[in-house]
Amino acid sequence: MPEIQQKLSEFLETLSMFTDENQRIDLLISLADKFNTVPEEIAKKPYPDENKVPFCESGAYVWVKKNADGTLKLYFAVENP
Amino acid sequence: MKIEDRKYAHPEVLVSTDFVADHLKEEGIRIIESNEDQLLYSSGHIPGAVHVDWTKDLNDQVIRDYLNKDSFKKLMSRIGASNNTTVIFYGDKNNWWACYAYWVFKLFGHVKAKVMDGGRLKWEIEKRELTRDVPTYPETKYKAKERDDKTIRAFRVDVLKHISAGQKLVDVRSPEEYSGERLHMPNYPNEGALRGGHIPGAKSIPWAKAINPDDGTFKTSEELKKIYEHENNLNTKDDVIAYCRIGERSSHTWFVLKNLLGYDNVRNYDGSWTEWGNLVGAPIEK
Repeated sequence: MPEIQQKLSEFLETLSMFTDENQRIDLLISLADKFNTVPEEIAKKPYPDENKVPFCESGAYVWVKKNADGTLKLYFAVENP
Repeated sequence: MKIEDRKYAHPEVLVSTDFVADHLKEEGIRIIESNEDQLLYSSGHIPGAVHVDWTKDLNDQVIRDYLNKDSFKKLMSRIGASNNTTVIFYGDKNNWWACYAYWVFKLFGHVKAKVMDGGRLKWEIEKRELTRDVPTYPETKYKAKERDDKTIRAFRVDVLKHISAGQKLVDVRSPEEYSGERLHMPNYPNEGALRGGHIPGAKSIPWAKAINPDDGTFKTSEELKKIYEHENNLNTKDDVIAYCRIGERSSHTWFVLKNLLGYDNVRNYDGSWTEWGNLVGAPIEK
């Protein structure tokens, strides 16, 4: 958890350095470009409601799998018709 | 089914993704993307399309109203559209905001306007080209008219008269919002109201009934008549006012009634429930 908090804090700090809206948009999109959608072996469309993230403007989905070492792996998918 | 086979009253206002793909570089056409998701255009759009954002470009930045004649003129100049340009709208959420933008452009009487059937969804499903290149067009001189707030736009005073006269009202929100069970859509807590329910006499016809969810296209004329006329007793001679929360879903329904079913008298009450549900003394039904 502390590692995630640190990464989030660093990202927020980077984002705050961009005051121009278009640059902020570019930054968010460059982050989004690194996104890999959930692999088919975990989930296929149509994605189930139980994995849907409530209150998200887009249709965002999340899956959690346990790794052998006990850590968790998160997978995401986004739909925005 | 092809657009020309769906027996719409005005099929010429709807174009297919094929049409847009074939006319991407045509002079005299301007493709406009209008979305709910503000990042969507930047993440990829139809080549040559410009972005018209409903919050920044179509709404007054201080008072709750649409842009004025001067601002509309500047907007058209920025996107390189002349009075003779055919603007083609498309967007996310099954063309909610595309229809809204179309409606706003019609307030200013821009003649040549169309909507791309299926919106972003269909374009993406068909794996057509998307680009991040933002085009720039030479500024144009656009002769703007005064905004017409009478013909296709309704205000709360019009709605009160409408109720007294027993005229038809269409509530296009979800059934839970219509009944008052919900005061706002789950994902839009900032568009709530102090009171829930609907305008007395309004029929509940959720906007999404008009589209095919798999690809965002509009249903055929026959299917639409079944929904609006057989099931809900509307007909082309009626004077209809449509509303939702802030007038965007209802502009989608306005587009359907006006252009696809050919209703002569249909207006969008853009104040909608965010106004009516907060208005002191406004009559409400549950």
